[in-house]
Amino acid sequence: MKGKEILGELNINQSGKVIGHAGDIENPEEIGEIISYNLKKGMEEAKDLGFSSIHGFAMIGSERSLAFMKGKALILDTKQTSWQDIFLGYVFSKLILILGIAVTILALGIMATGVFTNIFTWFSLNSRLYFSIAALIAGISLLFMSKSELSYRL
Amino acid sequence: MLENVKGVLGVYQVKGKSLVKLWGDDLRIDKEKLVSYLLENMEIGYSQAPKLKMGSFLGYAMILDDTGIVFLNNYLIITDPKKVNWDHVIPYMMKEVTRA
Repeated sequence: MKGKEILGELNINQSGKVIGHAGDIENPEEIGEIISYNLKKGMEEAKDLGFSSIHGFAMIGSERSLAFMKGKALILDTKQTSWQDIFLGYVFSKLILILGIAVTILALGIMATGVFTNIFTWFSLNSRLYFSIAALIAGISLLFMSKSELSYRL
Repeated sequence: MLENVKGVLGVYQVKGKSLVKLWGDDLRIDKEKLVSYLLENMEIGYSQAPKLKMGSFLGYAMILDDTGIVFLNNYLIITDPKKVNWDHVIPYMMKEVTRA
């Protein structure tokens, strides 16, 4: 994730230890402690209130904010932050993406061989064209579909 | 406040130690516990803000299971986290904070 609103970035492992940081962060250990404390507290509160887990959280300050999600913490410029991008992200479905690429290539291949060579001449030119166009549309639709799953980034 | 905004399920206000519904669904969780946690988290946030160089601490947001929660200036906003436009809700509530 990149953007001008992101002032610093911190990576934290499962036991709450800071394993890397970048950008404008002077005290990564202290921030790491704050995050693991808040996450532990948040998890206890979530369970006590009947939820099963906390996905992540954002602390909002007048100048800077802190967001934590799946092992990564971001220090943000509050006024410029796109909260939507921080909280949610699209997940590519790899299977559909690969299938889409395969069908698209196949469709282009059939189109090329069907129109420009004599390999499929026992079908009429129209049926060769229609079939390859239909396959191309299916392939491109699959490519778009692969980006459709919205999930929590936080 | 935030009525008919897509993905916003309800708005509540913490007054003293109780939760007052402005509009939306009734919450099916222990309200006393919820309020004490909300306020406790604010205290924790205030104490942590200087180390994070945040300026003044305004509030927080989180996603629990499939529920989005925003707590700013004693207002609690419950959202559907995938349907709501966070870019609308959070800055809107921050404006409410500076106005109040």
